[in-house]
Amino acid sequence: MAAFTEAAHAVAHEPHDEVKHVRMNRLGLWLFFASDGLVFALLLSARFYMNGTDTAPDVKQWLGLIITSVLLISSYTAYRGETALHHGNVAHGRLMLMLTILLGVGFFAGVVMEWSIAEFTVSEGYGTSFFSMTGMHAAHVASGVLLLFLAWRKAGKGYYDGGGLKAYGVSGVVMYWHFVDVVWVFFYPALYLIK
Amino acid sequence: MTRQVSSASSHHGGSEATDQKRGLTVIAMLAVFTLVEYIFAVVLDAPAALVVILAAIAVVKAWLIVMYFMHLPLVWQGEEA
Amino acid sequence: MTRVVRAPIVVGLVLAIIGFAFGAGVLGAIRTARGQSFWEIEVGMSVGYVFALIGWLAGVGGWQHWGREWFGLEAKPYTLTGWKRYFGFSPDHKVIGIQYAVTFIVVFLLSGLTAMLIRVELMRDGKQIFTPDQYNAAMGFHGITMVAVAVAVLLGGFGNFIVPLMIGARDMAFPRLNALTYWFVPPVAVLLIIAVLMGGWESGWTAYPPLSSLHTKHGQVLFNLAVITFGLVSILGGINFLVTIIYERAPGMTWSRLPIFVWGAFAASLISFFFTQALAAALLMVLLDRIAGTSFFRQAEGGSPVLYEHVFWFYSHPAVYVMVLPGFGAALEILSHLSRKPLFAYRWVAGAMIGIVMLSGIVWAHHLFTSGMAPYLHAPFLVLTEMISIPTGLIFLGAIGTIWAGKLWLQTPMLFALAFIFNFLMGGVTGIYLADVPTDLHLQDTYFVVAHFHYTIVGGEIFALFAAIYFWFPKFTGRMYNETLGKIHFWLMFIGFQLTFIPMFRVGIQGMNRRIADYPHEYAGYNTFISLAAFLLGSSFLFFVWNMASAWLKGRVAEPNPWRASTLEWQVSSPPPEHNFDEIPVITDTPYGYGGGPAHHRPFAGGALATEEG
Repeated sequence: MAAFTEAAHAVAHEPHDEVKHVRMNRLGLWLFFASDGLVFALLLSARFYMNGTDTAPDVKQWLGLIITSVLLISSYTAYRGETALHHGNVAHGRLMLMLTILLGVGFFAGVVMEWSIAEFTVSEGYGTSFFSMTGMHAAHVASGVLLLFLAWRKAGKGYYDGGGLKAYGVSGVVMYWHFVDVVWVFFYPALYLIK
Repeated sequence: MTRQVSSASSHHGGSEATDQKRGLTVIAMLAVFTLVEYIFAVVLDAPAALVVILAAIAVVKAWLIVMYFMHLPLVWQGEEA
Repeated sequence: MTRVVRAPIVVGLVLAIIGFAFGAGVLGAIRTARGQSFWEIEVGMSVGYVFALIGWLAGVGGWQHWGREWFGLEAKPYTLTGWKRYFGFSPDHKVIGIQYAVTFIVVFLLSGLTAMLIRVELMRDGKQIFTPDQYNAAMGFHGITMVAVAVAVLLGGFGNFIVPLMIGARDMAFPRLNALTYWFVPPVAVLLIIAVLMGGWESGWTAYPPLSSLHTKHGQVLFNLAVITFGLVSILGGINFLVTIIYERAPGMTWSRLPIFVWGAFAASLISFFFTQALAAALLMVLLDRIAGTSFFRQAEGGSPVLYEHVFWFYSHPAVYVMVLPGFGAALEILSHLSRKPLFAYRWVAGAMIGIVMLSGIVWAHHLFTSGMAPYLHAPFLVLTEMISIPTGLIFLGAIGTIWAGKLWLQTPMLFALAFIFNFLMGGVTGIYLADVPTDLHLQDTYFVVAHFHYTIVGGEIFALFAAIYFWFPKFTGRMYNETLGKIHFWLMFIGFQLTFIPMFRVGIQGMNRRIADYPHEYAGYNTFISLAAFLLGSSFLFFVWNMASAWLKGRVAEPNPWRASTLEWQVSSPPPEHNFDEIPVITDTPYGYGGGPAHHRPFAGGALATEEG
C-alpha cells in the first residue's frame, strides 16, 4: 500500500498529471452543481405549482434589494480574490476573500432579519415557498462562508503561493460561491419581484 | 484526452490587471440588469409580461456569472499547465 | 484494547453519538429560549441526525484522511491492512467494491427474509402472523431496502470493482470521495432498522402524502432521513463514475472500445447524478411539512399531494433504469464472453443505453394516470412511455443476436444471463398494459403491478446480478465457486421465480389489491400456491450462501482468466494487485474480438491471454 501511494504521489507531481487532476476536479464540481441546481429548480417549480405568479404578501422590497446587492457584490470580491490568488497575489487575494466572507455574513443576517419581520407564516401557501427556498439557499450560503474561511486560512499558510493550478482549491470554493449567487439570481425575482 | 487547447478565450489568460478589469465589466453589467429588474417590478409596478422580462433578465445574468465568473468553458478547454 | 477503541467504526460511533447529543442539545436550548419544550421527537431526531452523520463520517476516517487537509494539516496515511481494510476508510476501489457488494447482499438476504414473512401472512386470507400495522412495516421495509439494494449493488459493488479495471485505470477519479460515499450506507441501514423497531411507518416505500406528511408514526421521519442520505450515496457515486469513465480511460480505450458494462455504468450514473435529488427533494418536502410546519401537501393552503407524486416519480421512474442499466451491461458482457461471439450491434446497444437515459426523464407521469393529474397529460405520457420500448427493444435484440448461433458455454453465470433475457421480455411485455391508460385504469394498484415490477427488477437486474456474482467471483476472491451448487441455485431460483410471479398477473387482473394485509377468500387458492412457490424461491438462496461462504474460505484457487475472456480485468491476477496494472495497458482493439483469430482487447506485455494464445 505504502509503495503504491508513494508511486502515485511521484506521478502526481508531473505537470501533466496535475493538469488532469484539476480537470477532473473541475468536471466533478460542475456535475455537482448540476445535481444541486436541480434541487433548487424543483423548489422553484414547486413555488409556481403552488402559488402561480401570485404576489408575495408584504415582502420588504428595500430589504430584498439590499441583500441581493450584497450577494452580487460578494460575487465580485470573490472573483477579485480568486483572480489575485491565481496570479500569485496572495495578500490582495486574502483581503478580497475576507471581504467576501463579511458580505456573505451580511447576506445571511439579512435573511435572518427578513425571517423575523415577515408578516406571513410558514404554514401559509406562500410562506411555504418563501421560507423553504430562502432557507435552503441560506444553508448553502452558510456552508459557502465556512469554505471561504477555510480557503482564506490556507491562503495565509502559503498553500496557494505561486498561483496557477496550485490555487485551484480557491477556484473551487469561489465557484461554489458563484453557484449560490446564480441560484439567487433566479430566486430573487421569483420571491420578491413577480406580481 | 491530454489535448490542451491554449486558452483562446481569456479565462485567467491575461495579466492580472486585464483579468480584474473583465470582472469589473461583468459586475457592472450585472448591477445594471438587477436595477432594471427592480425598476420594472417595483417602480413601474408590473407592466405587462413582467414574468417574461424577469425570466429573460435572470437567464442573461446567470449566463454572465456562469461564463465569466465560474469559467464554465474551462471544463472543455482544459487548464493551462 | 486501545486497538479496538481506535478502530474506525468505534471512533465513528462515538463521534456520531456526540454529534447527536450536540445537535439535539443546541436545538433544545434554542427551543427552550423560545419558550418551547426542550425535546420534540421529530425535530430533535432530524437535527440530531444531521450532526450524528457528520460525526460518523469524520470519525470513520473522513477527518483523518481528508478533512485535515482543509484545515491545512497533513492527511494521515492509510495504515489498515488485510481484512481490516474492509472495516475502515479505504480509497482502493476494489476494497470499496467488496464493501458495497457484501453489505448489499446481506441487506438483500435480510429483505428477502421479510418477503418470506409477508408471504406467510398472505398464505391464507384472514390474519396470520402480522397485525395490519406490522404488515405495513414489513412491506415498507422490504420495499425500500430492496430498492436500495437494486440501486446500489451492481453499480456500487461491481461498478466500483470492475469499471476501473475494465478501462485500464489505477483507481476511480476521486478515491477518497468514493470511500466517504460508502460510509454513508451504514447510517441508512441503522435508521431503517430503528424505524422498524419504533413500530415502522405506514406509507410503504413511496411515502405518499398526506399519509406520510400528517402526524403519523415517527418512523416516517427516520425513513425520510435514511432515503435522503441514500440519495447522497447515489449522487456522489454517479459523479465519481462519470468523471472516471471520461478521464481515466487507458490510452487507446476509445468510446467505441468500452466494454458494454462500462456503458451501462455510465448511463446509470448519468441518471443517478441528475435525477436522484428529486427523490431527496420530495422527501425533504415531506420532512418539512412534518417538522417545520410548511404546507407543501396541504390542499387548504394551496399545496397538493399530486405535487409530491410529480417530484417523487421524476426520480423514481428513472431510478428503475439506474437499477437495470448496469444489469443490461453485465448480462450482455457475460452473454458475449460465454457465447464466444462479439456483442451483436454494439454501437446500437450503447446508443440505446443513452437513449434510455434521455427518455427516462420524460415519462414519469405514467405513474399518475389514476392520481387526478390533468387529463390532457395522459396521451403524451402514454406515447412517451411506449417509446421507451424502442431502446430496450434494441438492447433485447442485441442480446438475442449475440447468442444466435453462438457456442454457448452453459456455466452458472451464463444460465443466469439467459434467464435474464426471458424474464426481461416478460417484464417488458407486461409493462405495455401499464403504460396504456385504458388498461392501467383497471390494473393500477393490483398484483399485476407487483408482478410486472418484480419481473423487470428481480427478473432483469437481480438475475443479472447473480450472473455477475458468479462470473466475477473468481476475480473478486481469487477462488472458484462450486459449479454444481451454482446450478442448483439457478434452477431453484428460476423455477421458484416463475411460479411465484406468473400467478400474480392472474390475481392482479382479477382485482386483488397490492399493499393490503388481507384479501377476499376467493383469492386464497392462488395465494397459497404463490406463497409455496415463494418459499422455493427463498430456499434457493441457502445454496447460494453455502456456495459463496465455502468457496471464499476454501474453494479451489482460481486462475487469472477462468472464462478465457478478453476484457482487461481478466488480464491481471485474481484478485488483482493493489495497483491493478504494473504498466497502464495500451488498447488496440474492441473488447469482443471473438471468432477471428485470438481475442485481444489488450495486447500488452504480461497479459494472461497474450501468453496463452498468442
